[in-house]
Amino acid sequence: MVKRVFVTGIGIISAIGNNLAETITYIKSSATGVGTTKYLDTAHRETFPLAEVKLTNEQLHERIKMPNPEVYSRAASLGLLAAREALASAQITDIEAHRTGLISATTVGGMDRSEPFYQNFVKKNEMEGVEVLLTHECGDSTEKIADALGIHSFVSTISTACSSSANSVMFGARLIKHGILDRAVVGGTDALTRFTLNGFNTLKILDEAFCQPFDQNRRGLNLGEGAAFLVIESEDTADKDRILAELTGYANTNDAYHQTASSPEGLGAYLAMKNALDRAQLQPSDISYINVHGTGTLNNDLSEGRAMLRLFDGNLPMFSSTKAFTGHTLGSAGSIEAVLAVLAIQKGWIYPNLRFKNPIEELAIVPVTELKQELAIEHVLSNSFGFGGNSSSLVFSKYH
Amino acid sequence: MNQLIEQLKVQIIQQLNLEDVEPQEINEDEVLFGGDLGLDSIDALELIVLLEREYGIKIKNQEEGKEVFVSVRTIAEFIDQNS
Amino acid sequence: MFKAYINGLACISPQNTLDPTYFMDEVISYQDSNMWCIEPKYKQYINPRMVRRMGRVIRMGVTTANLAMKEAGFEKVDAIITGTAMGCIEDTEKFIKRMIESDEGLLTPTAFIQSTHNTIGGQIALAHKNTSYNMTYVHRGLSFESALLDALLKFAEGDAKQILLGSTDELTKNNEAFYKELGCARIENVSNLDMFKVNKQHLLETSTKLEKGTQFGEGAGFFALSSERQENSYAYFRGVNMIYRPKGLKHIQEEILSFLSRIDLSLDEIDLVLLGNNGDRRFDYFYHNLEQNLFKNTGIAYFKHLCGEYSTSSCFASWVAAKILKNQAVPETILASINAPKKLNNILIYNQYQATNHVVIAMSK
Repeated sequence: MVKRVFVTGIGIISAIGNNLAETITYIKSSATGVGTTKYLDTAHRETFPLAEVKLTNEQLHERIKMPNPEVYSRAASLGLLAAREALASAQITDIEAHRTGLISATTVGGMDRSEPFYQNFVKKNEMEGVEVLLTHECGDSTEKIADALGIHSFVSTISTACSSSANSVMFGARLIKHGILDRAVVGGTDALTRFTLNGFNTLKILDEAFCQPFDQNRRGLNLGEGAAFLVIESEDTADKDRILAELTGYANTNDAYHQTASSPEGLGAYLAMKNALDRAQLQPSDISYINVHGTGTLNNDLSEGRAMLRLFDGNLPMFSSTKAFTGHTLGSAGSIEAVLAVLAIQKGWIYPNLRFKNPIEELAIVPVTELKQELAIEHVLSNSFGFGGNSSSLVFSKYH
Repeated sequence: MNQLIEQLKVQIIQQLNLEDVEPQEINEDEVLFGGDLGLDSIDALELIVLLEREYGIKIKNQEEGKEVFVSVRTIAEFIDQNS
Repeated sequence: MFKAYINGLACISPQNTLDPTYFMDEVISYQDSNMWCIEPKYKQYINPRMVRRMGRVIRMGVTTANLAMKEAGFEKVDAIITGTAMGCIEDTEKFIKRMIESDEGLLTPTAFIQSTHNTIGGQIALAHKNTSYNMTYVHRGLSFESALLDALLKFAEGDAKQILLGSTDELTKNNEAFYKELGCARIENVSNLDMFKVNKQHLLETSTKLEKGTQFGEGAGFFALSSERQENSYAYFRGVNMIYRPKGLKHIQEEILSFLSRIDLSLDEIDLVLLGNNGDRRFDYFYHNLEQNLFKNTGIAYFKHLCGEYSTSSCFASWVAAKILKNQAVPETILASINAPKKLNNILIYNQYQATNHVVIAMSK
């Protein structure tokens, strides 16, 4: 139980780049991934901007280089690309050399393939192509990724709404600490679907303009898509020269306030952050940077901000929401931001909270608005909260 | 107006799936939110759709919603004024 | 060594399992390709204000969670851990249908909100104002098993004293049609009692009658677990092993033996094995092979003729195992071996889903 868990590889694909190198370029130029809807076939194309991965399904299928690529849902394709990049970055070639697990996360799984089937089923009562429903389940994308990577020791999938992939990082770490696995590929993947877009639209929390997290004038969130995976390893197997960061803290709590809304004082968020710091044996003052959940909705940002003010008690570290770059990628948000946390430690970066203008009156707190470089980042706190009250926080630390 | 109020009660019960509640049990002047019916923000969103679908009236924002959804009577008055 | 004591449990299934005195003495026959749950009047178990929005699977989950906690006398738990393969599929389908019918027009939020996989865990937390650890695993035939493993880890970490662990999955009318179209469900009407025949004389005969397709079921079950033994404990979960895409029957046997040695049990110490035969010849050879080889000297019982086939049916099997260990008897309706076991200290559950997800769960008195 005392085993340390290290991050040795990262992989990412989102609206700000199809891989890590492209992501770095986007961030350096402070270019947002949010834009006019181009790839998702939806009646709301003209109404809501989205943060889409800039590839068609056909282009994704070319990139995954698998036999029968057409049976890969968009989420499975995105996930496979990010997981492969993570393994390559950890320079792992022999997956069987150690007990390696895959723990993925998603909210809608293969929904993108189910929607056209249901279109015919609902309108014409036709059942042609019913076999696509076999890829509907969340576990399908995980199994496709595991099979492509040759992972057999352990697979699992988590779905806790917008905190899903922070929880897969946590579960992987615990399995390593218990000696059940030596290393794990952990993260999440979610593709944009009409189901998600229309669903969020019923809640009236989508911004018709580009979102402005933590701004007084925030109007809602922009949905995004993508995948990110991390390779985490036990101290017994990790090559010390390849350690990118250490996962020192994690916590999962529940807000227990409302099915979709956060409590006004952000109790779940407060407890998640506090418990994660406790596990890492850190004081609030040790944190260099918080990558906030920061969706840009009226409710989340105020609630999260209050929880931060309570925990950090007038001594708030630098913080920003990277969702202004990536959109809210739901099931993959936690791992995308975990990858960005590791990158922040590696590069000494703090990301700008794009489009921020005025602080929220009730909070009077100001995020970082320009890319900060060459900082000594010791500890990054990464927040992911979701429907059902699910609240998770991770702490990544510089490896010493 | 009374006919509209009675019609609304039936529609609200149906839209919000208020099982076991009879239309006559709802007092048209009783507060809908924070009262005995136990309605919350999700119900407010459901009511916005109800007004748009059944009466073709759009609620512009949350603030307007709060003013309109005080009671069954205030909803009826709002429909009356806007249709 | 992992130990998670079961102090309370509740299960809604196609049998009368919600009745606390029910011990599988009768099995209801289903002629249809689907076996639907016997549902209670929910308002006696769930706050009416909350129940009005809940879909069927959420009602089943919250009810069994509440009852398990009540039986165990738990006021509070330190973790709520749920497994569900399909989540709230009825609400998901409802929202998709409305979205398509309206061409992405005016839609209401309730079905969408309730469609997310973590709704059941979230609703339980909300009902009990519980701010502790809350997780939902959604991996096909490994969903309940992942949740169980998490619970065992939680106790081992010393992070929890009491945990609520459970699983839910529901059938829908659409799914019934889809499963038939896909060839997973039987088209001809066969009773679950014939399909999973457990009558000793018919055992051989049944194996020759195996067909393609099975009867699908559904269910919800929750366990109130504690790290310490209590006076009213049923039994304890001793371990869980998941095998993803085994390389063959030999590999499965090796995995089972190595799992047993990890949890300090020998094959001789297993008194009863609960097997998940579902009458589909494409999959039943896994069970038959184990029954005739590895477990040839072990007591055997079947459980799927009670609950039908579904991804989280191991949760139902765990309910069966806990009841057997508490009552110290194996009901005739499920016993498949010629002789009933002489003692009942350790039960092993072996189940598989679509030949890719194989699981072994150990439970002890």
